[in-house]
Amino acid sequence: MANIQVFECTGCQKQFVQRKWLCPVCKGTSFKKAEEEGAGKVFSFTRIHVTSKEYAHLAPYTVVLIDTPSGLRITGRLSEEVQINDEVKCVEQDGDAYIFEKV
Amino acid sequence: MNKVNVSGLGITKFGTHEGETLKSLLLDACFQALKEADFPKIDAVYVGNFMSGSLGNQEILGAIVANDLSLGAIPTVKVEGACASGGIAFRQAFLMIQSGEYENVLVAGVEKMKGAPTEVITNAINAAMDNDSNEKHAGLTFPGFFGTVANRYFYETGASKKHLAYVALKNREYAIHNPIAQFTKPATMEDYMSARMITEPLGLFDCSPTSDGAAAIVLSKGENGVIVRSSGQASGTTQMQEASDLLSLPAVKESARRAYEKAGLGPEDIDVVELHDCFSMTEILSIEELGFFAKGTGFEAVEQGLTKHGGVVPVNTSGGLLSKGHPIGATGLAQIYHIVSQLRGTSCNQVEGARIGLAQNLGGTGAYSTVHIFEGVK
Ligand SMILES: [Zn+2]
Repeated sequence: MANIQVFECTGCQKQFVQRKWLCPVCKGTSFKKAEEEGAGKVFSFTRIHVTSKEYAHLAPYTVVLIDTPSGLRITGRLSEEVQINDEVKCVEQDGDAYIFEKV
Repeated sequence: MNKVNVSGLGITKFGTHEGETLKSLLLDACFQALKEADFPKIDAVYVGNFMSGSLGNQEILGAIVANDLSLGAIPTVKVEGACASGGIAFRQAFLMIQSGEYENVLVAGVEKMKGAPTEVITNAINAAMDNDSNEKHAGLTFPGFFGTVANRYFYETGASKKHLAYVALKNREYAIHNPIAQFTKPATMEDYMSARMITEPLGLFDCSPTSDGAAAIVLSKGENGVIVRSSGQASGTTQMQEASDLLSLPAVKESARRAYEKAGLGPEDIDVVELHDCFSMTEILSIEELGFFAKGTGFEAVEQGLTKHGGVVPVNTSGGLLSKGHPIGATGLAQIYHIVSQLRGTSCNQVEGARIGLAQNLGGTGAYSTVHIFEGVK
């Protein structure tokens, strides 16, 4: 299983998948990098059949929105089909993308 | 503050303009609008456009309009706000007349999308997302965002694909009577259900097409004919994973709240609506966010025909983006063109006695929204 890299506000401990400059919760400006377990449940998904040239060789593929136990919501990719509430885990980081598989 | 009225309208046919350039489409629409306004002295030009640079290697659209239509050494601007470029350009023109800076402003929108391969177009449209993110690198597409929204909407409300079909088929029925619309052939539920899949659950009929086209409007200080009652604009989330409620479009809701408040009106006062149905799913969310139906009930409203003539409020009587076509930069102005025609009583699919109309234009996956409210004062 691969971890998800997060940015954690040192003021209120809220975690973000994307880098922040100003915390939307407490307006803090200091963040530290942390790692979270890459696992969770499918919140929603779409199976993409038509895409841009750089992803065309992967189609059809599934883009998923995943809720982790620690309260993060992350967009990732799976090659297989999924349903809402399926359990998934992150298996690798491909460039800047998180790749998941069904558990 | 000055009152602002619409004094000229221009539009080209939407669809494929083979052999015609972006510039000629733009100037055709502008010329029509200027002619209808009887060639007033124009103080400034705003042009809404999204991809003339990426697809056509053409910028300086504002200066081209001023130069080729002999408008003089006036200030001109190109406005980019993805699919809301036209609505945002219109708002700038309105505010400048309202504040007293200008008396007559030409606003135009244009896009030339046909001819480029689908993969190139998809890539160019993806510029309307935050591309410096893990989300983009996961392979999320622009339609994919609304596919993900639709699957969750189905899960939470019990809606299904047939509800998306009601939106698409309604807009097609209206487009049949619109002379500038891209798709004017009747479509059946069977056609809809058997169309190829783009991004599940959205098929071909759920997605607005690529189109060529232009629209233009002359706004003037005054209170004749159709006046602009108010303008609202808001920004929203730029990434799916950061949406606090995936089934909402906060920018639509907030831009509407601002426009309603400034006009002293509410959803119950609106007689006719053009809203941003870039996807069938977007229309269902937007009729909720604009306050016509309660959250989570939009799918029932479309099933009951409440967004057609004789319902609560007719929505997208032009055919909408889905069937009228969606030349991105022109869309916001084409919506306003149609609402003004409705309030003048000269529209296709005329809503009898329509006096107050609303136009809502969305950019990105909810990143921008404008709402304008109009009144026919005769
Ligand atoms: Zn914080």
